[in-house]
Amino acid sequence: MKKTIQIMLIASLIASCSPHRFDSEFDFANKLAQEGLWQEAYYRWQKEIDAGKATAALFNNIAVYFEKTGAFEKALDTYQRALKLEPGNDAIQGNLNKLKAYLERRNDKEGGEKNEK
Amino acid sequence: MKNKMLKSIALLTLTVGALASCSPRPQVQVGIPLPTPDALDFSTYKSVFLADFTIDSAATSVPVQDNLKDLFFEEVQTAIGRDILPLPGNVKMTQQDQLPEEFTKKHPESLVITGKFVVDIKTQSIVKDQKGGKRGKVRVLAKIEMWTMTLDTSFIETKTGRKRASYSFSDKLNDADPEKQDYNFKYLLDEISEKLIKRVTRTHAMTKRILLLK
Repeated sequence: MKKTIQIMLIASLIASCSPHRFDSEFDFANKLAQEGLWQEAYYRWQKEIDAGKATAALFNNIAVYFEKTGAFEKALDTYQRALKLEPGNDAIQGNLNKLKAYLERRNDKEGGEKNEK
Repeated sequence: MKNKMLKSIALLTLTVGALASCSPRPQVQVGIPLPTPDALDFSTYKSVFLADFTIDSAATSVPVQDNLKDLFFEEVQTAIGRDILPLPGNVKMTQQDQLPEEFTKKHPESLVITGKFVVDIKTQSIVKDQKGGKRGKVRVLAKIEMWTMTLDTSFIETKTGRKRASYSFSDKLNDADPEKQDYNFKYLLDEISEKLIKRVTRTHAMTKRILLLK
């Protein structure tokens, strides 16, 4: 009886902790991004979303791509979508905070220029 | 007995598996280059001028202004790919880094480089070993210098009179030989020049972001 409970406990632990399974497209896209092939990576991440596999990780990585290409507004929206799927994810929140800080610095600079012109 | 051992191994394997699947989500840091907000685009100015720097130098035997002119008219000029012109002789900047109206009206789309240059030298006595004496070395009292060089550079737009960018770089040289002022000066100026040129020509800065792998 004692052992049965033990096994049941461990099985439920595995079930609750098992990570999401992504197909190889996502992993491949991540590798491409790390190799600097961002456009190709974006294409594959987007394919995953089109296939209905929207996850926080996907949106986060796409947001990083948007930042890299200078599409800052899109990046902001996409980080926020990622956070909606996984509120409290430190990595996504950290990325979003860094982008916000960068945009603030940039706006300060531009605002200063405009005010003085 | 054998059965009990097998069950223990199975339990252990399951526990390890469960813990492994609960480990932090794999992620990787990637570098992405973002445009630096205060990057200077020299191509947008009709002319780039160099005004005299305010100098406060303890290196009395070194022609500081000439060294600074060499830095900007040669190294910086090459790095930015634009001619840097000296301010006309009759044009002087005020203490507040302001230019005469006559000049700014004549050159409304230009950039003026100016700033402050400080060299501080502190002397210290130390005891050091020197060759000589019966035992092959003797202890003597010697003097060393500690140099600090600071170059504040401002880039002022003639159109607005506003500082478009300003950078400050500083470097130190400890244990400097008092007999080699020229060497000490050039060593530090080289170090600072490198930093200034890197900064002035930098349009993008690498920033880190996290990619989630699961």
